[in-house]
Amino acid sequence: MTEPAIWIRNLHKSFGANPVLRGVSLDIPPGQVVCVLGGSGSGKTTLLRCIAQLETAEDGLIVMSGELLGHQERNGRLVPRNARDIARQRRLAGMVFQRFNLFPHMTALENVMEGPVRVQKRPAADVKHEALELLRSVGMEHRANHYPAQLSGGQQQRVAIARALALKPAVMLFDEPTSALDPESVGDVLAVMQSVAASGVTMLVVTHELSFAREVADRILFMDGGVILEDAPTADFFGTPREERTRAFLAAVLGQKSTA
Amino acid sequence: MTRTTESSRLLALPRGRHIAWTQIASGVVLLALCAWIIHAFAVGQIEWRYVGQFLFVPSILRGVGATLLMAVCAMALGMVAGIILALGRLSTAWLPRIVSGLYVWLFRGVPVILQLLIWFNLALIFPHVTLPGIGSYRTVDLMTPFLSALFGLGLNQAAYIAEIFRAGFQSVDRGQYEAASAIGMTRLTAMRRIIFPQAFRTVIPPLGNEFINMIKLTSLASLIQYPEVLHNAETIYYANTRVIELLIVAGFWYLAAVTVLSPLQHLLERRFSRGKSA
Repeated sequence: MTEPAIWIRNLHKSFGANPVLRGVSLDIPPGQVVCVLGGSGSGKTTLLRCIAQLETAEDGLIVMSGELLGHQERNGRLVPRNARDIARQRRLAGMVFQRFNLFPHMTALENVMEGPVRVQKRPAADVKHEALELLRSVGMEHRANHYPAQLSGGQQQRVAIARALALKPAVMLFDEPTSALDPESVGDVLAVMQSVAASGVTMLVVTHELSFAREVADRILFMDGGVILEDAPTADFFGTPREERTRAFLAAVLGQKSTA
Repeated sequence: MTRTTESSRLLALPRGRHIAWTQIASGVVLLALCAWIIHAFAVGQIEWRYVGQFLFVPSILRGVGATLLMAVCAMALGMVAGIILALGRLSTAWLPRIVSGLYVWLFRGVPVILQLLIWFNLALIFPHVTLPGIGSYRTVDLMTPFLSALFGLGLNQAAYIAEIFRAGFQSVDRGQYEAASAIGMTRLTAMRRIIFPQAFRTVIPPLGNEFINMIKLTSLASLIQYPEVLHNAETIYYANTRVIELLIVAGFWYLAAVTVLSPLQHLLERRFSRGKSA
């Protein structure tokens, strides 16, 4: 059996007295494209942020590419890793944010080059070649020297995807990547994500785009109340949802779509 | 029907100009006031030829140099200490937060002139200073007017600059920290590459303000015998009793220094506004 790309056991996270994740366990094999669906407050974004180590879970373990995230075993107990080690581990996954979060004082090209040059300490000349190639693959090569403020939301998000890919992560995490976009841009970004999926990268996508999930995902997770309520191959999920709560969610979202 | 013909008639009318009578009237009053003040200075007990005569004497020029040197050095000390304090204030650990908070409280709460006097008279508290591996010194010899003024002005300034940078760092979107973390940056690299350049553009205007303030604050150092321009002007008028003339000379140089600074600030703002908007 191959090592899973992401292995999660019994993940718990709360904000103050408010529990957001209440025992999440999950195995994702390498290369699988997984979409996470669920209502707001279901914990799907928090799950992604825990994997990206932007949040620290109170309990539970995450192993990515064979590395235990955030902790290490020492003298028979698990102790927290130091900040430098955690910074290194964050590169195991590429993260794409809902609000893009491009660096506004850098051009599109500089945004993509920043990680490889400043973090991986690779020579700028080599990186530049790769970065331009990446920008071409997301259809943004002609805007390489533009600043984020000069780009539309969809263009910024495509640059942000290129920036995450530049570190060659084994896993890509997408946190509602099209939620902040105008309707015309959504298609461009989804097309880029589809080509990333086709390249064999393991993907975990929190989204509300059901048609994208149906078309691209291998597997759907439906989260509700901080747990994974339903976990099924895409065709089964949309064809024969098991849980009552899932059926209600699908009916509500699809019904809303048809009236829109 | 009649209304439309009436409105069409208005179309043909030429346009007149609005005359701002109130502005014209206030302008005249202000001009008269200025003329009166200038007249008072011109006919008053001011020998203008002394102003011209002392404007460029070596002692005054040395004073100008000393003023600018102190302003730059104290500002540099204030910036370095201020940035460290701001980072401490925003730290996740409680110790640097408390230390920075106490520092700002103390140094903002005590008048600068009092701080200058304390540094100058430090020997009364610590008669000797021992630097490990270098030797022991009498504090009186160490705390020259220059060092006293540098510490007094610079460390006071640090408290204000810390607050400016704290606001600057906080003005940067949280998403920027997260994006920097997500590409594997350590906190220090993220600060240096991502947060600081963005914070800097919001703090340049208030920093320019602080620097202008600092140039004028150096005049307080005349009290502890630091030979800046006001101190040297005073030394001259104690001898020749041309008080107002020499104060005008000093005032001229402060104004000149501040005037030169404003375009420099503008240049810096332009340099750091890269990517601000299309």
